[in-house]
Amino acid sequence: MTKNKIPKKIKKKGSDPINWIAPLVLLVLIIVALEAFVRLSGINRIVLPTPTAIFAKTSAAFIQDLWFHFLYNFKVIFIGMLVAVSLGMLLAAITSQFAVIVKAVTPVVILLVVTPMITLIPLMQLWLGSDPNIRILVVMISCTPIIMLNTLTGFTNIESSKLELAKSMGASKMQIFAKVIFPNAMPQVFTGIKLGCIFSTIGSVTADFVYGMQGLGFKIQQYTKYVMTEQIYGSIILIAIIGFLLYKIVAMIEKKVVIWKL
Amino acid sequence: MQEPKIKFNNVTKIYKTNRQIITAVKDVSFNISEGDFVSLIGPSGCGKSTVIRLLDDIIKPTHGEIYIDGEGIPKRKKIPSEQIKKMGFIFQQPNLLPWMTVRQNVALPLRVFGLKGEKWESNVDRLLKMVGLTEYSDAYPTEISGGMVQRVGVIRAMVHEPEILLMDEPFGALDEMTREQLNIELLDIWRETKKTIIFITHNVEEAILLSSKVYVMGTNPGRIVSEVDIDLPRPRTLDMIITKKFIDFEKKLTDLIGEIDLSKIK
Amino acid sequence: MSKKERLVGIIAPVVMFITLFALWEIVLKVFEIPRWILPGPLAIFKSMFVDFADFWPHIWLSIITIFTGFAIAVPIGILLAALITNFKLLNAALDPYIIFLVVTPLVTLVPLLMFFLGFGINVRIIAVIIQSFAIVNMNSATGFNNVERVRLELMQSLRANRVQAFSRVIFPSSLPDVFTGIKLCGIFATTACVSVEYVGGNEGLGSQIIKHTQFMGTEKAFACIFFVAIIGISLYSLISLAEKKIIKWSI
Repeated sequence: MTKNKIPKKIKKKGSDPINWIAPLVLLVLIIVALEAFVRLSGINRIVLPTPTAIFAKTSAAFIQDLWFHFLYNFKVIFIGMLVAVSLGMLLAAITSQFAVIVKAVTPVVILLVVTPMITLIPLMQLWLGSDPNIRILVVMISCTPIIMLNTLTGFTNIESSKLELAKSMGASKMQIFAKVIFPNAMPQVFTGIKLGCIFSTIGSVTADFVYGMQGLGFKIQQYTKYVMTEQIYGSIILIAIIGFLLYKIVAMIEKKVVIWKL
Repeated sequence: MQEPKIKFNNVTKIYKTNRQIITAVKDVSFNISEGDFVSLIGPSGCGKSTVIRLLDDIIKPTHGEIYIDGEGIPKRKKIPSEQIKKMGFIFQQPNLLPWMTVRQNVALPLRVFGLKGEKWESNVDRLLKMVGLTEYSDAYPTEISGGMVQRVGVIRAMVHEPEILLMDEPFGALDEMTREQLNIELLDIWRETKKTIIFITHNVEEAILLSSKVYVMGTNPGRIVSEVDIDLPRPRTLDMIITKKFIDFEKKLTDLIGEIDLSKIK
Repeated sequence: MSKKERLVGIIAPVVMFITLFALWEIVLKVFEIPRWILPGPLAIFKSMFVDFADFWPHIWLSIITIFTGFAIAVPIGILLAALITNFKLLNAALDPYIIFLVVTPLVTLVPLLMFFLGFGINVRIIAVIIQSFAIVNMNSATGFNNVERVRLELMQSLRANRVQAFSRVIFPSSLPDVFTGIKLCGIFATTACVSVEYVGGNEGLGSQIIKHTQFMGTEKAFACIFFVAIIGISLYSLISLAEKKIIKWSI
């Protein structure tokens, strides 16, 4: 049918106000319900403190020293991701040029994806010492394989009809890559980057666990030792915020780049 | 006077979105008698798809009433199953489920409506035989041709023995030869089963060949613009297409549609 | 795919692996890297065989942790997605929280969990479940929410109820997305297991990696890493196999 067909949902996905009202309402409801539940049920505050206590104690800790660790993770994750995205895409671009190399390299990359790169964390300390910036490297190796894999898939899964069209217009290999292959791969690339976000937070926190000394993961271990549960939950929320921000930034860039996706 | 099989009474459908208000159809009224073969024709956006979806309770009207065999379709609740079982819907795009075989696809309405028993199951085989697809019963939709897919779509809509068939441009995506062949097959089926058929098409020739009556619909808003009785003799054959009477009808309908297009441009 | 292409598809990666391992050995020799920093692949393979009896209890524990956690996380994720996507309001309300659940390393809960529940295998399995169910939830929900409208109309024209529409149309047409989620779930399960085993207790391959690294037994540490890799790739292959069998209709 033509463009005059009336679809049931004409509103552009996401601009529907219910999409941010409903979660907000839910959030308020949950906070209120939790507060009431904890106060009334007499549950041990060590297991589950009230939301207000979590907010209060975490804010206090934040002003004190938690902000430093928060920013540290922020830095590690963001820089690590930036490098991982660049490296992953570059490697994919290079390998995708030759079909034989693609066939040879893909299983290797899959292996790197299914093997948690966090297995290398202890060894990296052995090799590189305890420079806090090593964690950027950890994040990098955690994310690059998946980004490379998805980008590679995106570059190689292109309909022959599209390539034929470009060739019939006499486009050079470079032009074909830039104008056809690259844009066509974008949805797949962004999926890979979003997955990379998840690996980045896991990698950063695990590195904090193993290396200690700084980072929100390390603080969580500390707080656990001193049974400061409110700050534990607070720190988890802080990490969640970093991850969520990262994800949303990627999603925003995606909306600008992949304009044809619904 | 006998109760019409289907009655639309001042039916209006309005869609409201963040940006605009769209009147898909406005004040549509018509009666269809039992056993009639009726076509809806018109330019895109005239609301013909909306009309049959309103009838099949896929969407609800904003104003107006719809009656089947004298009984109204509830305005808010879902249509009662006795009413919906009277209708079979045939879609424009091949809408077979790719993970089911041809046979399973044809039997789908029986499963969903909960119609069990030898009598219903035998319908599946009988219908497959009728359109010559018995050999392909265990094939998957991706393995058969476009014409075959549409035939499966048609018999699937018939397996639960509905009295009314609603067809939304079922042969639109096919090549001319296959389409003409399916048109004749459809007329044979209609003659044998005497079902009431509402047929949507944008192809004037097809509308004239198949129907006793053609409703021409217009856009902005979608509405019925005129009604043309096609009094060509039955049974219809393909060689009628070149007769003068047929061509006159074609001209008449094409002109009517053309006026709508012009008024759109104004 | 022609026979030649298939052959190349098998030989090329094999050659690649052999080349990489050979290069590895060569680099070690040329740069005279001490074995305690980076052992060669041959030494690692040898350790995997020779010390297998020592490794085995940990391998087994990690396998159980990963597979059990995975086996529980998958149905939870799919069922939750099925429930949520069926109710528009719930869907809208929970959508950002699913994202939160997915991007937050739920391994952050591990220290707390271990504080309350100890270091046993059950705690580790729980940690694996909470880390990995969210991704299969998210991918399944994407699939369930993006069924072609004509398919839904077909179900409406047959007046199908929610259960019928879901089981006959929505779920089958979402299988590709669901399987992507399941594959990712497997990967996150493996990762979560290692992460959890790092934090507490002396069991499982993660703990052994740390132990051997501390004692400069780098070959053994690498052996453990290789075992994790084998577990990871096995799980992935199993899922891919199941996927091929189940989704025969979508090539």
